[in-house]
Amino acid sequence: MKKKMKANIPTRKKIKLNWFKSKCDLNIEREIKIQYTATNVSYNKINWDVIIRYILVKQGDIKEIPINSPMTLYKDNLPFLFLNTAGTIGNKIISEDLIDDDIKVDDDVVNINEGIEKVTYEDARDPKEHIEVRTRYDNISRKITIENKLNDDIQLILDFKQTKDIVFVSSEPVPSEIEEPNYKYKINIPSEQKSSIIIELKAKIIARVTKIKPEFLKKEKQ
Amino acid sequence: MLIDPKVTRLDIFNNGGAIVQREIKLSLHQGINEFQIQNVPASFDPNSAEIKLEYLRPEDKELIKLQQTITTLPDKNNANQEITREKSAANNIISYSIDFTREMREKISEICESSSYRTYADMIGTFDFIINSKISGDIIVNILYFINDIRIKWSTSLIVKISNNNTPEIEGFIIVDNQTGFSYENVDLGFAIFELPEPTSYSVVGGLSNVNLPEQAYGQANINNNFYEVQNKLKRTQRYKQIK
Repeated sequence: MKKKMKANIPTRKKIKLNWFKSKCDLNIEREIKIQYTATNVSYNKINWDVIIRYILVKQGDIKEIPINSPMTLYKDNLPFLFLNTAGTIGNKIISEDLIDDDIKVDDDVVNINEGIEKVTYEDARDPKEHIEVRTRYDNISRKITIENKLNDDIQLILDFKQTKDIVFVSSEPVPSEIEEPNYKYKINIPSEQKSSIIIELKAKIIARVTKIKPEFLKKEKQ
Repeated sequence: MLIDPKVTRLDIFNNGGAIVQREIKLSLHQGINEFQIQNVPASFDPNSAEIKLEYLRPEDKELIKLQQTITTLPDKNNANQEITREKSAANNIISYSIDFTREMREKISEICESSSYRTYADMIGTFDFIINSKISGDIIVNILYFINDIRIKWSTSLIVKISNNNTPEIEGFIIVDNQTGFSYENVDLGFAIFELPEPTSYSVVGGLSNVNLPEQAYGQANINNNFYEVQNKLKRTQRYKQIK
């Protein structure tokens, strides 16, 4: 039978009522989402954030908790984390996404093999001009190093998403799961250790330059 | 006859507003019985106001009938003038109250504080009803209305306790925030996840009140030629979800 909640609600006051108390399982999910653009794919160094979320699997009745409800995590009777809920799915209470500062991700370029440029032309607004389109396909190799600065071992998922311009070629180690356009790597990193992935990519690099058509160029004075 | 039915149940929405249920046992005389409900806030939605008769004997169903309900809201301009006058009077009282004793000062500041918080929604609305009875007898009347006031709402607070040896424990609390001018004594509480519709079409000009009443939309509609264009579509999340 549903328990009835009775209370006095005085004017211009806040009241606090006990709602539930139960055991739960606490899971921590960490994720690195990587997606390059034609510009940043050739950067010497990129730093990515590790997203962390806490998932509580509550025992007993399902409780629907409104989003953005404040949640305080206590360890040994001391508060150590203040966060908000992002939603509930059944018995799962999911926290908002936070950046985990204890995990460092360095993404460095290893090698770039520039492809041969193919030149095509497009019409410009001015009939005396045209746009020179230089397209080339570069093979780029990048090394992603993840450092675990915590005292505990961690598990995380690195999720690389290819785009129309940056396509996945190969990687070392191979992805744990491929569901195009996503390539996922399940990585375990012991405490104070590093783990690396080398990814080979094919990048479509396009440069556009507006030029005066040759027939309209003034002849140089001899 | 003036009546003040007890508030028996209050279903509060997390984004503000509530459904109020009240109940009273009334003695009827033969003929027309007129009743006026007291303590109905001006934030109540007249369209949602509902009277349900609970018959004490099955045969009363044919003999006692609800003839009609009458609902009105106080005039906004007059109500706002009254509020302004009250606030100004409260300011005067507080400026002359320095010579009072401590106990008096506290009482005065309480009065002044309540007047400074007062808005249109704290004024009194009219909710009357007429019962036509062919007999003299008793009946239970259930009254239900929706309060469109974002100053009454609920939220949750969660505490998760983690220790090295034991399974983590989660504790949930409900916090009810009632910033309206009305109190509710010993009521059954219900909580729902519900978002009031966007205030674009119903919002009150001048910002003196937090309530959005459908009646006030007519004035807005005449001013805005593109009334139907500016109305936002409701999100699917704007639905009532009862919390267990």
